[in-house]
Amino acid sequence: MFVFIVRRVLNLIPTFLLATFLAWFVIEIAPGDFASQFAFDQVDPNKAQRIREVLGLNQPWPIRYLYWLRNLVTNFDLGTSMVSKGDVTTLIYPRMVNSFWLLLPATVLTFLIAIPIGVYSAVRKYSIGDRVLTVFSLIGLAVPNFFLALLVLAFAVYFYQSNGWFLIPTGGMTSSNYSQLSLWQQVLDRGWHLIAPLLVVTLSSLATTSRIMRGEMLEVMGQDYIRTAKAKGLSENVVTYKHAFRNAVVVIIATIGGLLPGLISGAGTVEFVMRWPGITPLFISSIFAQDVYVVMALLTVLTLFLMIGNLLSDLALALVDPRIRY
Amino acid sequence: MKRFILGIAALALVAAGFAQPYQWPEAYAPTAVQGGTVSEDLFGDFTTLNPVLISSAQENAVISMTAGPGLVYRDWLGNRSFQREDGSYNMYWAESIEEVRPNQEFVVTVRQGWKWSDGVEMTADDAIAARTIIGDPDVQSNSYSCGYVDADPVVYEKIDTYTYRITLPRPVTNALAVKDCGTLPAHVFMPVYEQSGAEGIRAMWGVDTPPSEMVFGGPYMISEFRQGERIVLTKNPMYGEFVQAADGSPLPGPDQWVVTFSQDQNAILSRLVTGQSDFYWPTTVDQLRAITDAINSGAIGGQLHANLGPSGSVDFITYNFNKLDQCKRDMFRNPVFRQAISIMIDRDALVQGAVGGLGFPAKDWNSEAAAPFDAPHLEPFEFDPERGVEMLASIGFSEAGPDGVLRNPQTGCRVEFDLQFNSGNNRRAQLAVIISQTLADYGVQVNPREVSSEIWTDSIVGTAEGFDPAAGRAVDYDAQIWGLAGGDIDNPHFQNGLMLGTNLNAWNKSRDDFASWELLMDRLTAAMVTEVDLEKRIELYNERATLMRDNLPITPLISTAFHFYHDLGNVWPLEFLDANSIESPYRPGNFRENLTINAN
Repeated sequence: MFVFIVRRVLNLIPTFLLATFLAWFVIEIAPGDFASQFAFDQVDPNKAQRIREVLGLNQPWPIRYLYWLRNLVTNFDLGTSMVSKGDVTTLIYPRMVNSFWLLLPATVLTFLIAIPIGVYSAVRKYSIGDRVLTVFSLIGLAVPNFFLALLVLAFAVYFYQSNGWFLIPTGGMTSSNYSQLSLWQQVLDRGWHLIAPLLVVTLSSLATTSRIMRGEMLEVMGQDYIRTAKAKGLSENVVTYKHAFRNAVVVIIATIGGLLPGLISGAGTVEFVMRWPGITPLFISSIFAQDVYVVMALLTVLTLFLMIGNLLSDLALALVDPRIRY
Repeated sequence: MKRFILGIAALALVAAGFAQPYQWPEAYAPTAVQGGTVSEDLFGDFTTLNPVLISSAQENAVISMTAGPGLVYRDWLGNRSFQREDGSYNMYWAESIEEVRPNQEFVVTVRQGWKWSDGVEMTADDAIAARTIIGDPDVQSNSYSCGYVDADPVVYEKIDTYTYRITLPRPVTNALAVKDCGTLPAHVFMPVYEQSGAEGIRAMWGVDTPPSEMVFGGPYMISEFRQGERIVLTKNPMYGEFVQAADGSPLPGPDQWVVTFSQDQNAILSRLVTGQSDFYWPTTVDQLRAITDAINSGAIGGQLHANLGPSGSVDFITYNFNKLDQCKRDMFRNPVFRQAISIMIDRDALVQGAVGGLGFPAKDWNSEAAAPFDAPHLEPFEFDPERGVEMLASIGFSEAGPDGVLRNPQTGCRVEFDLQFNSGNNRRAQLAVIISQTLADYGVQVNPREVSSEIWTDSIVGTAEGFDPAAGRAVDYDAQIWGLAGGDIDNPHFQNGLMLGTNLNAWNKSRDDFASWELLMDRLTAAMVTEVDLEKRIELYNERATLMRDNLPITPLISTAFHFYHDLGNVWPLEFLDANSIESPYRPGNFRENLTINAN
């Protein structure tokens, strides 16, 4: 096991270099650069050219990539944002933490709800309950989460306009008087603001996980050893949860590697519509502004998390699947 | 001893005299709004709190309320200039300004007793610190150009603690307004700059810096900042000690200002219609309807002013005079062709079709929001497509081809061109489609083309230097819809757009091959840049507008309408509202005595 881990860690180095190089390359092949947006400056017509010179954007991109990589490797320096002129880490860290506080409970909640739904649908295949849940899942898959977020927002507005008080807030992570609240009130305030985006993110991802779980359970339930277990006279619960479930859930565990970067990569358009101060809006605005160091910082962190997540996922699989040995 | 005590007493009296608070001129007085909290939603987010580095309009609007004072201030509702018509300035931090050479050399004496929020007095050192730091290109300040006229530096020299000299390399209109780099707390910024240079300045006052570590010079201080969520400003008590309202009472304004960040217009609207923010600029019919419904249902209680007038930006068409294809190049360069196309465009239909009636036909590249620079003498454009067909016939496009498109029987050239617009701009897409459909009935084929922002930008600014007619432009486009916002409202000379071959001159990049009217336009623009007298600048503007109307290098289309909602009582009376008048109700200088009297 130790040798396996060391080997995997060493493999991460070329993977990481290749991933960052490709990311940089893709960013560079987009037309224009950060300075292009200043081409229309009426007061300072030379601004774009001056910025290009000061930021070294006139240099070939491979050279700039090597400078960036050197600073990253030698100083753990992710660079300086071209927009804010400040440290990139300072900019992205709190936003990643905000995304994490939305996505962690959403992920946990998704698994807590989706796995039992998947198992139920598989065990009671084609029952009314299964059909209802299937329709529910398909709706969840079909409705984009930004639209779901808009519906929730519209409900929050409608409720306020009808009753004069807020059942759920119209977005945001904290109330405007947050800093004046006591610690306990701050916790409650955050929880209250979490309800709507948590609902949207969970509903959106519920469908996929529950359908995967249902499919895996159905496949496992058709295996010979399940029939053998039933023939031995084991109870339905033991067959389902001890034999079938343990094997079916392996697929879900295999996806945990991909979840780790997912916890900090932002909740996408939900963060826009529900004003959740996560990483997505910064990521998108940085792409539009061609703030290459912010974009690269995010991609680098996500690449690292993905690689670490995959490693952990492999190790977790070995724990639950006795057939896997390293 | 007695003489010594008297001397001390006299000095104390002089010092007390110096410390008298500055009072706004008689015309300015407190409005009805005093105290409380005002909430506003801004689209976007802040990436820095450093006044040297702020870049977006949103950051500028909020952080500037906390930054140190300027020498002069701009009227909000008056002549919109730092300078009055008699040539005198609206003094702010400046006690006196001696104009040694008009619009070029000034000796400025600043007021004594003005203090930063940490109690340190503001002096000439603070102005010189701002010029030094902002003017360093490595700092990468967006205000960099305040320290230069073209590439030549504006020189600041300290004369004594409260006096300094500003010397421009040559006269510039509104010099003190556009070349005043403002103030920075020298006691905070200069030690960092001297020790760590530009890098040290860039590392200052980032989004993770506690507001308690910052120093403020404006009417407000940052009291809370949460990344991606909000910034909260509270009154700067130190400011209130040296600036008061005309009657000696404290300056008006809320005790607290909560600015919430949003990245989505629906999110902003949802907060507004639930009474969580106090003002808003709707842009669509749906937004106006949602606000109207909220008012009617009693959910919110403010005032909605729809269709107040045109916004500051005009959509217009330019043609590529440097087109490689000779047929099109000759066509685009012919003023009769441009006049013909213009008269065949139904601008009322554009307003109805592209912006749902919430707009105004344009008659100049500036809208009426830029008054007095809005060419009031120009008549609205006519819509007479039959006349347009006659005009096209007069320049050779006299017969319709088998496809119905007008063509020149001698040359075979057809009246067809691509009309491009930037991707994602639905309004311009609609404009292009309506123009295409209207002109198709009269034998003119216009092909709407959606292009990426990069191609669209390069079509305008590409090939700004070293134009080679044989190689053509960076993008060999036909015609393009675009527009401009911002610029200098005191003098919209548009130097880098209307002069020969400049970067924003989208029609002709050549500095050798141009028509006589282009040269005249260049000369008039150059004259506007340096003309100090407002009336003469307006005359120059109007003369140039007539020239532009005759030759149409820019074919104006429409302006979107300007709407405004607020729930702040009598701060903004209807008769004073237009797109350029609304900045901040609480910025010093934004108070006029008759506001409360005339409010309705």
